[in-house]
Amino acid sequence: MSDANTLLDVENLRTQFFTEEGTVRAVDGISFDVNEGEIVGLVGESGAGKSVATSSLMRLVEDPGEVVGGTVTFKGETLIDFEENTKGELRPSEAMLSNAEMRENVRGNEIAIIFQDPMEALNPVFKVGSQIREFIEINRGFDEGEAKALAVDMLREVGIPEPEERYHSYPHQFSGGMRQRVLIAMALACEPSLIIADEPTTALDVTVEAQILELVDDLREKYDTAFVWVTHDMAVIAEICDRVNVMYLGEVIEEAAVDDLFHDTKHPYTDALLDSIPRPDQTTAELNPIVGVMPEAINPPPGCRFHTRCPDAREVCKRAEPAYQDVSEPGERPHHVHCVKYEDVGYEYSDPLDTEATGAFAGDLMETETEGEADD
Amino acid sequence: MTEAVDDVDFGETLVELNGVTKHFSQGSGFLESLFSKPPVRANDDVTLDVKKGETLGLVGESGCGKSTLARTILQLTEATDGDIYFKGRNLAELSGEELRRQREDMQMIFQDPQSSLDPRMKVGPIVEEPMEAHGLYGGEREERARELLEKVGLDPQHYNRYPHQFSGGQRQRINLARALSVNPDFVVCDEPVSALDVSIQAQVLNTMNELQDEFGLTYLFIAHDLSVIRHISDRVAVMYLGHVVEVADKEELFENPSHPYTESLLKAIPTPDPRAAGREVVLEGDVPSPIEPPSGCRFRTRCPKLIAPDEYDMDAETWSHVRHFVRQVDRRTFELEGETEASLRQRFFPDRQPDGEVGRLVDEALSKLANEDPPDWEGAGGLLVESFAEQSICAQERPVYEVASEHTDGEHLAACHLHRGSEDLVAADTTDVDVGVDDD
Repeated sequence: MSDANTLLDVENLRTQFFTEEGTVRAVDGISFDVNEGEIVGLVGESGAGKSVATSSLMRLVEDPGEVVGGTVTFKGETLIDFEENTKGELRPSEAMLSNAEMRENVRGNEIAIIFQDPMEALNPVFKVGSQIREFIEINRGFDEGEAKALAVDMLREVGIPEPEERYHSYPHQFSGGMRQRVLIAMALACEPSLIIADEPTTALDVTVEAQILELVDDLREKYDTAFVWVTHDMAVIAEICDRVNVMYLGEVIEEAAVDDLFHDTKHPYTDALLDSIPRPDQTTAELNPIVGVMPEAINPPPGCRFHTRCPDAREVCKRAEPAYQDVSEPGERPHHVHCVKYEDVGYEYSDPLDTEATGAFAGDLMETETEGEADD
Repeated sequence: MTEAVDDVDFGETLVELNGVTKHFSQGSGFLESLFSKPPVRANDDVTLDVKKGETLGLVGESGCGKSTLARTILQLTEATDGDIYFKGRNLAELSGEELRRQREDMQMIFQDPQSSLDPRMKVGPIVEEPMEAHGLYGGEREERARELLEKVGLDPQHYNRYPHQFSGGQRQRINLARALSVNPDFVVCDEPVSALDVSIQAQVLNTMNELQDEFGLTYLFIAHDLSVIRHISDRVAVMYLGHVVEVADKEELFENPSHPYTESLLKAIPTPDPRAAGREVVLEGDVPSPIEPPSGCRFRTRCPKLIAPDEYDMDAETWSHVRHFVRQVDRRTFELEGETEASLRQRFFPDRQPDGEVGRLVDEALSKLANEDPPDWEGAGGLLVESFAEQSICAQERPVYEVASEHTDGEHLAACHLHRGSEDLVAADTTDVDVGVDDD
């Protein structure tokens, strides 16, 4: 999967939470990569494992969660790697960076993160400017004066008017959009190669979101920073990403260039997701929701995890664990998909499943007795 | 206004707002009465009607007063001014007990399905509670609750479960069942699907549509998501900073937006399609404070189509440069380091210098910026705003106009002075012209 300008390479990453009710397989063997200067989307519904995946990359998963397998390399450094010891157990390997190296060399300096809620990411009792300054002092070893000058420059860079004066403001004195700009300024201050943006525009109004996305696009061009853009919003994905990974229940089920994902959709889940969104540019008579809800990651369905809600599900989907493979034709851009339809496991000859999703299920809850009134 | 009636025919006005205003004072008690601060003007003079059987979408950015309006309509907060009529009855004039009984017909669904359900109550009793409060369906409440759970798409067997055992979408369905338990006519839905995932959102929206058909419900549907509004509404009202700026049938509003704010909002929505034309960022700056909202049209401080003041003689191009210059100075969005009067002039007026009175004012402002040390931002901004922005008709009169509908035959109101020359509703009101109601 990786080539010359691959910045981040994630192979078979697994993160589990050990709770009283059992083991939650929040991220269950995902693989993706990010090239230099590229914006890669990570999209899925809540509970799909998007945020756990990004905090795993940064090695910030908290107890009872733990990264239990996989390899993550970033610019030649091994962020995560496991090897089997003599007893056959998986143990972090020698090549993996120590916690101190991770903290000093990678987080903030090389990989920065922007969170959804800027109010929670900023300390309410310190001035905005001094928070950025401190961040620069720690990560770049600047003295106070240099760090302050850079902090003001960064505030100006992200479009905050009167940066010298706003340097002395507290977070609550900024609007939501302005606070998100502050976080972007902070993330960019150490000129990282990669920024992980975890739903950074979800809490913002559309007009402000448009401003922020435009800013990100400009800054990416200027600094050549790569982004992992985590969101549930397909419209944001369509607008800003170069490539997209769609997640469902701890797995990446489809990966493609953004245009291919929307116009040559391969996985039934991606298809259903796109079909369920109301459009701003046309009136839709009826929405086609995905039936049911996403199952718990504590006890995922066997076979293909989407088979309980999939309109194309057949008997074989309950049994066969789909492989994650490239299904593009020679000469096309790679297009990975995780679905038995594209495998040789007898999908064509298998019987359709009898579920509500496939339309074979008779008991529709909404069909209740309406007493002989002709309502047409 | 209209006479009080017990029932309203479909398509007739069910809820009528007449100049509804809601201001919040910023303090309370004795000190407040001595040193009063200006109030927060959440809603100002909102006139709107909701017709029986329709879904009226109410859309606007956060902080524009949508939720306050919803709460005021239901008399959960008292209006500062104006009247709200429900089925022809003025709600403010009802006594406490009468209002309580009237609430049977008006229910609400909240945004957060988690916090609007009591975690210690089982689902069945939650749905039965409004019936109990109104003394309805005695003896058959449990049966009705089970029936409603089934109607909103839940398993009636879940009667004895607690809210935390349900997902977000299912909890919103419990809210729906509770709202419908007293058989209301009017349901106010405050961002009911914005906390839900898209696939779940579609399920709940479809269920709401089905229930509306079955029970003949009227919805006031508040949302900030224009895609959702376009899907569910029959008519749409757009709010900005406490004012309703445009009201029209859905198709008309989306295809022929006639207020610059609506246009900007529509241009800002992302489309889930990478091949669609990218959205445009047309709005600069932030929403002004509702404590001191701009005079006249409240959108004028950000409006890309602010009208040139009549007293200066300018062509459109000059005005667009001047307008840009005024706003950049007022917001201090550029740096003065290394700039001279000439370089600033070149930057803001590259093709042609404005002449006459306009030229003189621009020169004065440029000189305050470039030739004074420290630069007199305040003086320059104040001069420009006072001479140009405040002189525009947009700053002096609040606009209300009816425009011709292009896509439907419903009424289309747009509060923008660009429609001067269309029928002026303020004028029409004073001369008491009887506008014929649709005949069918």
